[in-house]
Amino acid sequence: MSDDRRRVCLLTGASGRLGIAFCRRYASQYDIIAVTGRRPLPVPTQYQRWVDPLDTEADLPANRHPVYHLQADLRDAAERRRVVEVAVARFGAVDLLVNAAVISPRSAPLIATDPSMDEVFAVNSVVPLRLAALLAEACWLGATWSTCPVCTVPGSARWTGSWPDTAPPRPR
Amino acid sequence: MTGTTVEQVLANRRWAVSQRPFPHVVVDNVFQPGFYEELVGVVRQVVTSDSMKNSTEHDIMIKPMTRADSWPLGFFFGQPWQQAVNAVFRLPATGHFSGAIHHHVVGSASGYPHNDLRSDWLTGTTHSITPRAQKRPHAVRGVAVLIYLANPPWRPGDGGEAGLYRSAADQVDRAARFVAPVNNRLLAFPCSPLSFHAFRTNRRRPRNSLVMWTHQSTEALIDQWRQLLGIGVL
Repeated sequence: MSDDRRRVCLLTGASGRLGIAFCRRYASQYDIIAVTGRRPLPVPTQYQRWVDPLDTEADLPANRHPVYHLQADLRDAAERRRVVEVAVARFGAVDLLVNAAVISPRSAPLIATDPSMDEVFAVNSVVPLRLAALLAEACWLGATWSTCPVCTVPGSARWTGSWPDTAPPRPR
Repeated sequence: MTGTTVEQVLANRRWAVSQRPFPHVVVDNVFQPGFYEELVGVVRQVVTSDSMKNSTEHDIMIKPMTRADSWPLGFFFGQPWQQAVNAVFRLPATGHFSGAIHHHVVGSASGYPHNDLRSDWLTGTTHSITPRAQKRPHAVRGVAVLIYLANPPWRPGDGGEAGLYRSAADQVDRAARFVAPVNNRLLAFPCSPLSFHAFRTNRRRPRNSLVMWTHQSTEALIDQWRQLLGIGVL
């Protein structure tokens, strides 16, 4: 793997506020595999581009960094495996997993009694772990890392709208 | 307002062309507020009058637009608007045009996935494309355009969305994409054998929209799709 290869990021929850902001901020730096459920993804993708109806041949800056869009229900094991297989087949490897798919309970859940906690736990904790394990099998085992290649957004956190100016360091 | 250009009425010139489940665009805040409010005024006047009639095909009340309509509806009969809409999908416009004001009362029944591939420019009635060349219309619907307006604020669960489908056999509630009837939002798609769409019942609020169709040459459409669909003779 050469050092000048564009880094590849697998992003879940890409159609949420955080995911959309991530795509807009980092699509010029990363090859982003943007995973969504059924909601539309308002950024350029391999299936979507912006057109000016009065100048349809115009080269719009908004189209310059499309993300690679995959629809999947990541609670399903077969869907998770498909996402990882497609990502590796398309880009060769994945350098970073960003889990922005979260369920945020409207009120503090009662862990002992609230049945919705099963869903919260599955999406916020189990899916990121399973995806990370699949990616480790496919790409990461044997590599040496300066930082953890997995970022998971907890359901209780709220994105404030500011990003660091530089991307995280690449693995060594 | 005669002589007003497309450029002057458009507030949003970034139209997101999506390819799935079939080519379409969804554009928010599409018109300038002044033009949008003029359209709202006309639609409200029509909806509260007794000039609307029930559709024989869908659970909907309709008031056709005509070339005699003055501003602002008359704007849509102009070639520049039709050419702009068709250009997004690289379809040459024939100049034929039809349109209507649609009103769905609360609880209107869901429709069924259909592709709009018809001709209705000549007589004001609809004709399915016939496989018999001698009965084939000169032009068929090119780009279908829906503009949502004069509606209460939409919230999830209200219904009234336009569903976009992969197949005519899909269930109305299982669309590949739902487009909510948000005011000043435009949904447009080229009519093709695969442009399956349907209205989903509006449980809580009425839905008003302008619906219009530019047209394309029937022969061009058939040439485009014959090979793709593996059809030897049409």
